[in-house]
Amino acid sequence: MLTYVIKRIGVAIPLIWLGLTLTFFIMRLAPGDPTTQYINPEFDPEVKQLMMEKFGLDKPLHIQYWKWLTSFVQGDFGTSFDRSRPVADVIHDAIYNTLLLNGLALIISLLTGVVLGIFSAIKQYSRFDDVMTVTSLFFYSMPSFWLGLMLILIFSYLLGWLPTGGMLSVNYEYMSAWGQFWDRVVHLIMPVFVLGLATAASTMRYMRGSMLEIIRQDYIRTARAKGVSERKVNFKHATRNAILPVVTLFGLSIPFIFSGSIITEIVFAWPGMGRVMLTAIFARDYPVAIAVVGIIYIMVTMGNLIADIMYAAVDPRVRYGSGGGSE
Amino acid sequence: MLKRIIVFTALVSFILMSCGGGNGNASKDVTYVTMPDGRKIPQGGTLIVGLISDVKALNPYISTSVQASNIESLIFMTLADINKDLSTYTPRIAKSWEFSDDRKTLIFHLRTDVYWTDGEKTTAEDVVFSHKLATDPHVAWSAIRWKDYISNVEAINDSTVQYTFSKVYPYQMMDATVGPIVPEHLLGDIKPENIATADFNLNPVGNGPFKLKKWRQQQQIEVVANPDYYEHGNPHLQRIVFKIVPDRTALLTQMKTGEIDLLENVPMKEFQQLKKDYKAGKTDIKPYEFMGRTYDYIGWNTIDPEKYDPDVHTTVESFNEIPNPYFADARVRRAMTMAINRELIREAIGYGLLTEMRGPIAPILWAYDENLPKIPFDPEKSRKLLSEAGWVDSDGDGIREKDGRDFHFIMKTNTGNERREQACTLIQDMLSKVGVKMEIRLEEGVTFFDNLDSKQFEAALAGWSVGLKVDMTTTFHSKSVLDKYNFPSYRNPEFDKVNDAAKFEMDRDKAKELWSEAQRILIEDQPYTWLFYTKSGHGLHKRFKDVVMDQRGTYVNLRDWWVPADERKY
Repeated sequence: MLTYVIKRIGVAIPLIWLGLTLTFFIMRLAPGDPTTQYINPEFDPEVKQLMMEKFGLDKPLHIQYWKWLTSFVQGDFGTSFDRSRPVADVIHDAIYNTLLLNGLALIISLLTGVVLGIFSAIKQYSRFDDVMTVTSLFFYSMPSFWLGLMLILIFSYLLGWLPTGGMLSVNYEYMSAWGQFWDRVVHLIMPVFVLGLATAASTMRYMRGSMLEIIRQDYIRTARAKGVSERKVNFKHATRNAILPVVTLFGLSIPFIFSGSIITEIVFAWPGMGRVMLTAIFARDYPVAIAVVGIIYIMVTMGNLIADIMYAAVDPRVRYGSGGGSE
Repeated sequence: MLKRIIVFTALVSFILMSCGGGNGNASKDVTYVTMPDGRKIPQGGTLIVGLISDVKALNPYISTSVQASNIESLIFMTLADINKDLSTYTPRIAKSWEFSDDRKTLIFHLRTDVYWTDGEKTTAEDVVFSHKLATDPHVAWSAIRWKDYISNVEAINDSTVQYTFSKVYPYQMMDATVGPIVPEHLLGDIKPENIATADFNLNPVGNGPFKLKKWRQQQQIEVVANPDYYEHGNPHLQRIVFKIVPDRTALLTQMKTGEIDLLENVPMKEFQQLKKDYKAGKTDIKPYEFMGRTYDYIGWNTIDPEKYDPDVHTTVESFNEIPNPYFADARVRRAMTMAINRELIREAIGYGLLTEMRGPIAPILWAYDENLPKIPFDPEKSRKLLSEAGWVDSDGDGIREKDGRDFHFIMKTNTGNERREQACTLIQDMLSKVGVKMEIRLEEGVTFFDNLDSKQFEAALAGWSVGLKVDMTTTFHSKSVLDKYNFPSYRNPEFDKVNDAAKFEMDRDKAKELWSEAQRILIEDQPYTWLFYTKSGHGLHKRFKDVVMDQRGTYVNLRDWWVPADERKY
């Protein structure tokens, strides 16, 4: 197992390097530079030159690349042009917010998806199943920005129950401990809902499908024949096996927890990674953009790895030998 | 299971409702302050401002956005503030000043009761240091060129500073006072190249009416009244929160739900609605409208973008070798303007916030001339001019040709600016009526400006923000073709001569006549088609009193704003 993990990481490193190198050059191919946004008759082009020197962008590209690569492997992501702060600080602020929002959304949506999927499968073709099928497809196909705006319209504008966006209230610092906790909760409700809904819907469909397949298997019938209670058959024997595809889904969703979701973060003014990436790209803030992309590369690779390892944990048929390494 | 869900939902909604209206109630014991004019004004209250994006630093020599300099104007002070006429000044850190007889030196006498919020006194050394910072190339302050003619700044004593100039020109006072004063004792030991990442930029110490309390990156910036501020009774508000909401629709919603009190640059369509609603008493948001600082234009490239090579065309003369097949001819540019119904465009897309613009000098500036000649909307004359320039439709397909080339060009503009996109569509239709085919190309902002800068366009619909100085050198002077912002590569020695003379003319009336003359040349040549000047429309909750907003900015007199005690929300 350990050898397998080491081997996988060994393959991942050149892959991540290749991805980052490509990103580095592709980003420089985009027209403009970090100073283009300041164009204005009072902004002298000589100042542009000074700024380019300050950012180290006046040197040939291959030298910039080497400088960036050597500091990147040492964990130095450089300084953001657009925010005048170390890139690590910029990401540090945002990643926590994104983890909170997306982590919660993912966990809640997987749980509801799994539970509803199981019930849908057990009660196949019942009214509950029909309603769930239609609802899940309906929400799955709904664009998240639209859903977000509609929720804001209903719950913030018309009913006034929930804040329209942001992570904390303007008066957060002046609240009691309980008030602060509650303030966080109310700010999370709508974005978590919007983010989680599509995942919940798709998880539900996966779970239902795989559950239906399992409960028709011989060993389930045998269990029933032996007089095992219906509850135990469904939730212990069947669910454990039916949950495998959802585990893969979870592993593949891990990078998404870190990368943030641009649309939801913008609609709900959530200060997360998606926004950091978007503004960095528009401002041609190369160090920030490449660091965010780098994190996503690493997370995608790690997410796949974790999914494989978890597979082994829940499915005894899967074994990762030192010789094989295929799944 | 289902039961549990129901109980949980009920519980959640109960707690939700019970917490819904819980805004921190303002304490009822209000203190009043008697102002010099005898009025009693309540102290306290909170203003919440909605911002579309966070600022990068709260150090005036590092930040580059208008938004940042607005907030900085609350934390820091300049020697003197410019007045609404954009030519006279009100004392701030400097209580008085005088020019020497030859106008080569300017002496400022500083107040002695101004303190940094860490307790240190603001002295002449801070002024000298701020100038040093402003002119250091490693700091790369965006307005560094404003200090070009200031040869020396020295402290005569703790409260007297002397500026020495290498030239005598009309904007000496403006150049001396531009850029706030920052504390030497906190920044003096930092190497200039490290100023950009100094901790000071996130935790600034100033001497203005407000001081930074807490900055939650990408969420909000909170400033509170500075108790040691020198002006008696100011500021009246206790707290200002700048709340960052990155989406325009969300910003607007927050203004409507009352989550933010002030929204700058309300979209024009919404602003028109706001004006109606406020009149009808349907909203508490009061509209503020005034002349803004931006205008939109079409730039006609006088050189051929395909033949232009920055390595070959390195002199102004070399630009004559690559004339643009369409727009090198001033007659064609005039014909374009005549074919475009600018009034209709303003009415169709402006919602009452776009005004006429004939030449480049903005209506807010002293040199503005309302009697400049106007190029009328006249499609008939436009057709005649085009034919005269050799563009005729000989094959009857509705598009004019010359030397086998169709009059078919690409108009570029940036995405995300709905107004410009709509204007392009209207212009496309108007030009088709004089036999000109125009294609619209939308480009992402930075890409678009980069293409303008490298002259990769045939025609472009863009905009400029207007500075406080009257000067057309960077945009229209022929020497600005190579390395500045003369995007259409307009070259006219006659214009250059008038512009250069006007720039250094000390007599206001003579200078104004020269600027008008320069504008008349530009109007005749039409390197731009000036489309419209924009008015700004801001929305602010009506409980704030004594509010002044004008071309200098939204916060010019924020330290005078106040809220009646019983209308306080926070």
